[in-house]
Amino acid sequence: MTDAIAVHDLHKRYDDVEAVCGIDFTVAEGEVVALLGPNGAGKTTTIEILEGFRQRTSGDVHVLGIDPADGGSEFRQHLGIVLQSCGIDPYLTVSEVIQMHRDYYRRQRDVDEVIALVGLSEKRDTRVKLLSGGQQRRLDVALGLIGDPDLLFLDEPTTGFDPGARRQAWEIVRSLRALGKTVLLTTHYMDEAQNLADRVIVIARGTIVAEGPPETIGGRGRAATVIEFSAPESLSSTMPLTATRRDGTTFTIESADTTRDLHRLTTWALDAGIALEGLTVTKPSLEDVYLELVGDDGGEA
Amino acid sequence: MKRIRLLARQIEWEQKMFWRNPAAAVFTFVFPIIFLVIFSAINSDDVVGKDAARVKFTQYYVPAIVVFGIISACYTALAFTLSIRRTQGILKRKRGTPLTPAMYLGGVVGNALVVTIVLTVVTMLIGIVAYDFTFPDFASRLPKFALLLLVISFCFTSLGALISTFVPNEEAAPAIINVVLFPLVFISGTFGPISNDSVLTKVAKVFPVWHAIQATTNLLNPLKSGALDWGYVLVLALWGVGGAVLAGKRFRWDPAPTMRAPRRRRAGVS
Repeated sequence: MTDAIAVHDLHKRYDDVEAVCGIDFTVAEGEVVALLGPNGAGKTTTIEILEGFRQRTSGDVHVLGIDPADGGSEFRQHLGIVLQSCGIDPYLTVSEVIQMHRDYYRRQRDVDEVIALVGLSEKRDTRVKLLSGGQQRRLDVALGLIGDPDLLFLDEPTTGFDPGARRQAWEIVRSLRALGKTVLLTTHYMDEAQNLADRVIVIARGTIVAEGPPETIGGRGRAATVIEFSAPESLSSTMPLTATRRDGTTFTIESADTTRDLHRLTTWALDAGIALEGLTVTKPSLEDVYLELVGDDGGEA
Repeated sequence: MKRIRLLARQIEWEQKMFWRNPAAAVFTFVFPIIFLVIFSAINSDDVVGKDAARVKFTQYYVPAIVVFGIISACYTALAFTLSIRRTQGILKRKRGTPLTPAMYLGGVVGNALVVTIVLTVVTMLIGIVAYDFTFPDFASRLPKFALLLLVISFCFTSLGALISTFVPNEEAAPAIINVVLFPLVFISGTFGPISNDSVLTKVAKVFPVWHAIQATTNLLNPLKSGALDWGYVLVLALWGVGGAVLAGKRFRWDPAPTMRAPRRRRAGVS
């Protein structure tokens, strides 16, 4: 499989600030990759260098085999770009704007099909200026899709969406994956990265701090399971496991051997006639891992 | 062939957007026509010009307003369109598509030309019907007039694109775009000729508006030969070329001011 995107030792300086400090990664054809990181981590700088909007300070970048710094009209025939915040001609209707952009591409998707895909069928003949922010964002995505791109860039595609609209946007990305398209998206929603991406790249302070499938990133696969439950305080002395944390009657146990520890715990509880109310068994969430990885910068996200 | 069709499509979309935007359509059209009506009413009995070429005020004023209309469509409207689209990120979006910059700007300029032609025809028709204006020696002077109109349009389109690169945000657009233009329009004899010896005229002669007014009012003066004064045309063309070169150098597709690096405290900057 060839790489749709290959980045090697990418640097970007703005005056006295180094926004991207030497990052390496690849995105294979057909892969969906999420760049995750707090605001100011360098996500947008990176993605806009890949799109050809910004010039890098140093490093090698190839997008669909082309250096985006000198990629012209032909390069953009194969790209779908959904920028972070970008106006749309306000006096045209939804279908007119899509039609206008469709003419720019050799490969074209059907206007009404794309409108339906992003859920704007009812707004088909509404002028852009009368759309809500969320609706404009969906139109953004539609404009990214109309040229039937091989590679789609999505810079924070669902920021400001209500939960329903987000699910719908996720469905669009999944449908693109099913078509074999490559997608690079940035987000600061953990669940979005978890639900959509084959691979997550966590960026903080301009460097990659972790990379991997969402299930195992940052050692998440190997991390201890957390068992939590409530039990009467008086019985804690007979408990077969040592609690790592206790908050009133709520006990938290970190377990490296979940099956065995659960068995011991439930056997003890049945013998003692305790209900173990609120029993949960969880892996650390991607959010926990992420906050750990990005450290202090996480607060900004 | 395909390129021509794409360009025609772009102009068509630009036209649609122009006429649907009340601010653009109303201001571009209404200003010149209001000025035409008001000043014609105030000065209707005046005669202007030197002895051998003295004409009714409106015979001078209709061509002057035609020039003002060209400036309105090519400079003012175009500068507003480009600066608003730049700050809203609409230009950046276009840059992310395969549409070439030449094609896109071709659509914007083509639209300005269409508006210019419509506005010129409307102004002249009002002049003919209401103010006794005549287009002298129509057949022989029309080609020269068309050429002059093109050169003036080119000049002010370039300058409109150039001034748009100085607009940092939407709020600043009206001030920046009009502050440069209005004094020039007034001192260049748009609303009636100003004495050749006055200081105002000496200043005005440095800038293109005065030359456009002179060339157009002379060409359409029935008592003059109907020759195109190439000196004026040359000055206009030079301003146009200079404006275009500078605009090309300064033109940005990205919203201004350029998005800065991470919002992080800058260390070591005093």
